[in-house]
Amino acid sequence: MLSIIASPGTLAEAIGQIVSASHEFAVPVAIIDALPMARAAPLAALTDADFEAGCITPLADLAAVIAQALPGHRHMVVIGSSAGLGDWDAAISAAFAAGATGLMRSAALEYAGEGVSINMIALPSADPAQAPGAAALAAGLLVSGAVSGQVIVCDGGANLKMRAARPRPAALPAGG
Amino acid sequence: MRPHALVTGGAQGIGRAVAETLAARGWHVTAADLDAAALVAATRNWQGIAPAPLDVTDSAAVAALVDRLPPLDVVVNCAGIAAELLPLKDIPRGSFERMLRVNLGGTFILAREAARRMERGAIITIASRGYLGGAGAAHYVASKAAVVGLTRALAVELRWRGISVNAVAPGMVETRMIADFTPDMRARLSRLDPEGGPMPPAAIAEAVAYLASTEGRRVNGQVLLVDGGKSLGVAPC
Repeated sequence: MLSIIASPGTLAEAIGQIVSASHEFAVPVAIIDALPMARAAPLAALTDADFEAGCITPLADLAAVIAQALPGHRHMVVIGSSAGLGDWDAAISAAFAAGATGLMRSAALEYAGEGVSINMIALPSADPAQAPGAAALAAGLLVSGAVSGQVIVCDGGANLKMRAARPRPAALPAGG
Repeated sequence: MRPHALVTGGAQGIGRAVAETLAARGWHVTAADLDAAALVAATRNWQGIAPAPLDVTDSAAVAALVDRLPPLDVVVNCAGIAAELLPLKDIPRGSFERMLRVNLGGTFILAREAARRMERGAIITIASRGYLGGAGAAHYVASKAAVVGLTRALAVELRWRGISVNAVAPGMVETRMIADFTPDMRARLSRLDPEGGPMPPAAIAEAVAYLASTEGRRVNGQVLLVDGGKSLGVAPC
């Protein structure tokens, strides 16, 4: 009884298919796509339309999807992004990713104590090679309400390497 | 030369306290607000603060304002809204989108228009302790969590230009935003609050003033929670 709430061909759908093929669930559960679709560009180059399409509309859409999935689905995993930790040229996807986290947390709080759980697996990209690892984690999160409202960054520890670090331009004055 | 700060939501609440705190320290401050009447009323007592009517969701208006102002050292986006508490499933889509357009879109537009023109300095956003989650306020929480994500991305992107980007996340503050709370709700929230009740806006303004200062600009990409520690025990996201 797994609902895969994701468009065909997306990473979230691939994760859902792996979970669906390998696990059976006693209660309705769901995997929900919340990977950002926003254009990667420096802040100054981003338009109001980019922001509307990459952040406001998909966040409002995601809120509606989560609201509809609750509380009929007892356990949910949102496939999100670790862009909210901060990255280059990622203003819109970072805002969307962090906003999705806020939505997930609020939903978890509203149903806390009722055996309903919702968590997020935060991926660094939409690379399909991540599907098997994320699927194993998702399957674990979908079997009980023990863990809820959490964000698990699923990137092999890459975020610990300060991946947003880049060499400082030589021309930059001290203190800048 | 006196440093120059643009503060949105500057006629009331946290924004007004930020404007007045910076002005008291010798800054030239432009206080922008949607509420022209509140701006006129506040201006009567002000020295060193220039009023500017502004809708932060109107990017052309924000760009025009920043164009006509003297060069900016610091921008602080305090303009924000809350809404009645509703379960996620009962929040109308329009209400959700409006919350995102004001709290998040306003922050995005101001940061973009300022960053296009600033040489160096600081961008300070106002999140909320609520960014960590809150029952009955999914739209507000999503907007403020998104402000934190935006803050982190901009901190990465703008640091080589000498611009720091940080968020201040206030707990419960005595502003118009909580004026609609019923006495029961206010008492319940106050009992749970380490501060014993809403704190004055000046407490938040002090945190903003620190991040705006020359030394404070060495902090980058952080969320400074000013909440008496109510959020302790909640993992940041």
